[in-house]
Amino acid sequence: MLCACKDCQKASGTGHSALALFSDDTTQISGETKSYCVTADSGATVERNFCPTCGTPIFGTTSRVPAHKLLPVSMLGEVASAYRPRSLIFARSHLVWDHIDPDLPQFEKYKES
Amino acid sequence: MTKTGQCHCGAVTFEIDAEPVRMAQCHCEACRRLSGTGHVVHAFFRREDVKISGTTKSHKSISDAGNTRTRHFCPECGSRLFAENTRAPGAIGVSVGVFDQSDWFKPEVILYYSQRPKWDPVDDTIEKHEFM
Repeated sequence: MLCACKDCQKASGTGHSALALFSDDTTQISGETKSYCVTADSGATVERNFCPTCGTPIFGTTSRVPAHKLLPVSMLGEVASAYRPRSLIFARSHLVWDHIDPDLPQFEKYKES
Repeated sequence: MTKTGQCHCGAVTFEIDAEPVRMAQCHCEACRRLSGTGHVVHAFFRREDVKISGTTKSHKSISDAGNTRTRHFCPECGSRLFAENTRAPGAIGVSVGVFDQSDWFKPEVILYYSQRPKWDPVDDTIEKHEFM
């Protein structure tokens, strides 16, 4: 999914994050990360983890989807070429200059799953 | 119009009382990794026009062309903030996603179009360069 929430805009420096959700069972992270935690408007706890040396976003978690990690797609290297976002969430803060596929389904906030 | 912005946690803020000298989107591998998306978008200003408050952390890397790129982020929340390049001394790129208001932004050029992921569409009316 693409996420155009204001926090993703700041973390990425762009108009949206490009994320893929993976189960903790299948995700192993090596190396040190620093975390930054906020409570979203919805009351969910969102934690962002980044490399303390270069600032690269590594993974995020949300209390709405326990035992899963949100990975920024571009961290996945060549594997990311097969990525296809299925939706844009937090379209309410999508910025006019941020070009996305006009046919991508959009949700004002998060998508109820 | 004065342009303002800040990182996610507010430890770093900035104010710019000038218009950008260049606006660009880059799809190179470093920009994709650092943003976590398919590109970065930068508005470039003269360095003296950008007033930064707070402490950033920096990471240097060497570009394909041999220039040194210095990227600045907030050490507390990780927000992607500023970039400098020895190729253009005296200029600083500000990540457009960290402005409080950025309706004025429109990239004039797309760089490293050859490395754009297929899932990251671009505006076809913008000038494109395969590399720099």
